[in-house]
Amino acid sequence: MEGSWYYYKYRRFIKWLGLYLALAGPGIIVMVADNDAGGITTYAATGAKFGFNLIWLLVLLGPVAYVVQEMTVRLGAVTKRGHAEAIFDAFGSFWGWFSLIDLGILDFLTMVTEFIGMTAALQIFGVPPILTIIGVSILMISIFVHGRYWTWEKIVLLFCVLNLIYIPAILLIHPNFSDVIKGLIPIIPIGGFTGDFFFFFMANIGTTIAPWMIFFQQSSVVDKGMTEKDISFGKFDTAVGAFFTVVVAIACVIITGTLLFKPGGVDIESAAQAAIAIMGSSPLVGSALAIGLFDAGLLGAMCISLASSWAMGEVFGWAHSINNKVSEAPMFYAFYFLSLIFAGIVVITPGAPLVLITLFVQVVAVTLLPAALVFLLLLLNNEEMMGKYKNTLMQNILGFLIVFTIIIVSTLYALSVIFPEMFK
Amino acid sequence: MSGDSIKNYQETKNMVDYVDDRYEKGRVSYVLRRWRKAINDINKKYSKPRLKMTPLVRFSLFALRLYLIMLVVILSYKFYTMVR
Repeated sequence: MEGSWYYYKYRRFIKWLGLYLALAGPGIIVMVADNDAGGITTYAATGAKFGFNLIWLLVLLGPVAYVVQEMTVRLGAVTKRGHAEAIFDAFGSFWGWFSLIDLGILDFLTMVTEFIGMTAALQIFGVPPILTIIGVSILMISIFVHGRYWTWEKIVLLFCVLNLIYIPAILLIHPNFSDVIKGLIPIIPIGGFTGDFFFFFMANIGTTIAPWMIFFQQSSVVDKGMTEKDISFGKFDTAVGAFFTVVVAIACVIITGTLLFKPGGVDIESAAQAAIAIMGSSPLVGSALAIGLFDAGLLGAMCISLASSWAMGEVFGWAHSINNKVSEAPMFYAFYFLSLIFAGIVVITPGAPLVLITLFVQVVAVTLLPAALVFLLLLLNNEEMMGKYKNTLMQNILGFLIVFTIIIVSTLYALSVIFPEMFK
Repeated sequence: MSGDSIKNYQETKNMVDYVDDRYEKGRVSYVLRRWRKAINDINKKYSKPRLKMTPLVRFSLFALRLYLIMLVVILSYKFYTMVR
């Protein structure tokens, strides 16, 4: 009797797992891609500057990202519309155009930073930037040749697995795990609440939610054809993704915290610089950091360019599904390919203001992030649109608290970029 | 006109229209006109917000406008100090 009960439970679990594996994708992809080239640089710099002291913050950021992204799953599955189209429909053309144009500019600039990360990572292995740009462009274009969402998603998930390269790298450096566990306790590092601490605190929160993530996951849920009955799987998928994003972030901090951190902190400007510094003492770990940086940039570029293309397709009424072949959705793919190619060209253009672009991304992001988050919350509270899937009281309390905090911190972070002396 | 002449006339006219159409489609002004039409259609389609303008929605949109104006002022100030 007991045996058959266990067998029944086992069969149910296998059935559930099969369903989950079929529906898994958008949540994991968006969360892992959140650790893009800029994110990896932030984590590497955090580890080098503060050792393991800010690990607790990264752990807290997982649930924060989950709360925001989970809302996009419900909104996409219920309305069957991407975020750009939903904004146009609910708030009118003024806010619609504002969001779409801002998203286009921001995504393009962010893609440039992804290409900067990718070229810097492969330069460590002696690959010239132009070859990286050409190779990456061919790879990203060839992924769409099949014209099937499923194929695209599984290939991208493979790149997500590669993002976990930091975990085996940790095993090679033998960090002091008792110190790592101490890092889970929320404390302000020795030296107190300095300008540097505040800057890194803001930078880590700033990398947690980017506007493209909201647009990407909602459109992805719609393109995958998820419906109301799939919401629980979508939520679980997002939770799994949030878990991995935190694991990767912590792994990155552990690597630079173990190999680069010295009392007083070490300043590094990019993850590529950290990889080069680590190469001297541990070539394998340095290589892993560089490969991880390349992969992070690649994932980021893939998702960001798609977020813009989906948004444009939704608003202009073009065919905009990855299930369409290139000939069936020419404008959607043209926008995707051209944004890719132009971002690549900017990076290899001699004298291009790449540092300025990298800084400017933070500033443009705070013009869109508050709007995208506020629209998300307002849409999720609309009973006519969401029915029984609208936000509960608890979801609203959490949502408003998180959105408000993200807006304040991101704005302060952008201000610190505009006025570097502000928090010194 | 005989039947053949009418047929030839129609074929020639179709060919001229086709060439005109192809020529027109290749022009920048045609592309711009199409984009403008698409944008006008979108503006018409979404001219009225579907969301009910409750006090909370009104306040949120007002706060967003204020926030964006504040950002523009800060960026303008930064630009001014950089240029000066």
